Amino acid sequence: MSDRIALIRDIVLKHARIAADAAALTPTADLYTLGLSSMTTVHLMVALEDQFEVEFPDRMLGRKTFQSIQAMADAVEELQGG
Amino acid sequence: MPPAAPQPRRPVERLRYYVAGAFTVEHRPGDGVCADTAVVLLPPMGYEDTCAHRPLRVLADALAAEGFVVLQLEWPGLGDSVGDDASPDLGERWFAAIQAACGALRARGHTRVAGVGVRVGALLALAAPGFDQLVLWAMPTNGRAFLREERVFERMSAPVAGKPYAGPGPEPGTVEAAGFVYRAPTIAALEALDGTSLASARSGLERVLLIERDDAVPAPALLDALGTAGARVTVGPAAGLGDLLERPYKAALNDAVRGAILDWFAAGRVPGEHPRIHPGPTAELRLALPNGVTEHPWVARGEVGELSGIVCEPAGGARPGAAWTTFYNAGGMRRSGPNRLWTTAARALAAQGSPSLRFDVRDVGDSDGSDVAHRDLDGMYSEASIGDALLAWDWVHAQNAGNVDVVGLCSGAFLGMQVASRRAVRSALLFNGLAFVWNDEARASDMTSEVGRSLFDGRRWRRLLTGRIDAVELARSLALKGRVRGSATLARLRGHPPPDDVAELIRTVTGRGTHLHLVSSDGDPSIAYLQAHTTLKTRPKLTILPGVDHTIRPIWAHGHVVSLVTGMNPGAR
Repeated sequence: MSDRIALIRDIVLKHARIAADAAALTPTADLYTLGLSSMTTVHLMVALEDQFEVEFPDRMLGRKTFQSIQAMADAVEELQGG
Repeated sequence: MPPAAPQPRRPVERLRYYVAGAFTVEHRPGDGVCADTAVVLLPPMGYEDTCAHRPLRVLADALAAEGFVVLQLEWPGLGDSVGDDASPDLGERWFAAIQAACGALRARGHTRVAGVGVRVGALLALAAPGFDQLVLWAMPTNGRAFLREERVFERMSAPVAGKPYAGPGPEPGTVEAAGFVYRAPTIAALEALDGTSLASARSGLERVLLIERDDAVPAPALLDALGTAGARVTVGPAAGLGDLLERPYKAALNDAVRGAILDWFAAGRVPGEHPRIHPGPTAELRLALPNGVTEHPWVARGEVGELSGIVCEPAGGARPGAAWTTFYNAGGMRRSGPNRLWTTAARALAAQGSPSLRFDVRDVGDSDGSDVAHRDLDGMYSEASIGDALLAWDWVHAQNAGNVDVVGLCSGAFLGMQVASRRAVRSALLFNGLAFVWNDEARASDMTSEVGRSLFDGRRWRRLLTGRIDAVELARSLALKGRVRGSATLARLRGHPPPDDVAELIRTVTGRGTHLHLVSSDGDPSIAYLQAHTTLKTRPKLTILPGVDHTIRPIWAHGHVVSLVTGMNPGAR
């Protein structure tokens, strides 16, 4: 598991308020089916921006970006120019 | 050493009035002896305010129990305060309310006034010159960042991810989030707020408690600016925001944050200074609104303490024989209604000459009861809540009301139907009623009828996705539904179909002469619920609102809802 995936997983566990234990939180698990709400998505976005010092542009501000840990990692990687 | 016996909590009393047009609840020690420092509690805005209202009431009570006078404000433009989103001067009105609150407290002998600001309330607290001490909880970096979060929240809440709701979109130059609108002058007022700049410009600030959003650390620039301003800064636990902004019926005050705030205030107390409480000399007991409409607080003694509401009256007051309307809180959303819809509708009714009462049943909003809005759905749909609603009917009827109409949404629709079955109600306008009788069948159907269909209908998934149904409740209700359906099928096979309590209730209500008008958002499970319990012949009037969600958002739908409310039995008023 990459460092980025691990960091995002920690952030999701702290902020997402979802009904899933850590074992169920695979990189591709659909967070919305696990209960991620609109409000907690916003909190998640802010936490990711703080952690990785990026700002999600408008085009990324949809559920698709926050659907899974992998999707967030991909978005962060793109913003960091990776 | 055995643990110390818990100290009995000091009694708290509450007064309700207006400060520069801002509806205010004063929480104060019931024994009349208070601390030198008084507190003004500045809430978040928009949907955040909807969620945080009850937990912040709990915080205000906790501070009052420790001896502090606390003024819990509602921002002009929101809740039961003056103005609406179209008011061009909301920014000025926010600061006027803060200034008036601070001035009133100083006039009563408090030599220090502390501001406890939450989210954008923290930015306004930092910007207002009247505070000696500040608690800043989850303060956005600046107003622009706050508005961005609001935009993102709206986008994430839309029926299809990333796409807007059906119907006309927000007006150009406005931000709409969860049914709350920020227009250009309000956006400008918010965008003028920047935390670090405001801190740099402050003087005379003695102490600051910084509570960051969950798991975040304070920005070094903000800490530097506060330090340069001479404030002694304490950094509290970065926690509690997620609890505070949970769905309205589950939002709660985080214990660590409560403890940190109480400890911080205790540490700042000045021994030996205990001025007596005096009534607020500048308190306004009645709010004057356009068209001669006025509002004033309403309090009744219920089983668990005070039930709180607002009476809205036309110019010249309620005339004898007038038709009164009662609005009920919607689930955990307080009496101002989802997206403040009931406040808007009540004022429109009064402008047409009709008085109303909007109020909170126990456990919700500004009424007494548990610290969390409702522990569970059984509390929300309880005989106790019905009792509170009946108490309100009795009060309205005693006002020489010619007729009583009722308006409710979701659990408020349940209350309206139940009241109409037990008291004389002329018209019942009930939105998105998911259950009119609360029994095992309702517990199951409320949650799962939606879920079963949602497998074939992507639009319905959003109710799951947006968290209106949580996974634990879902599992419980699925099991319950299996049991309930099994029992019903068995009874039918034995030739004894179970009685349909809902159909019977609807028959009772219409049989009493009540004009029953049900309104459902297109796709809302309330439609299936009604269809399951009525036939074309027995079905009450049903209006479908296309393109809106369970809480009647987005904002363009509000005008239609207000028309339905003001149009109840036209000519009979």
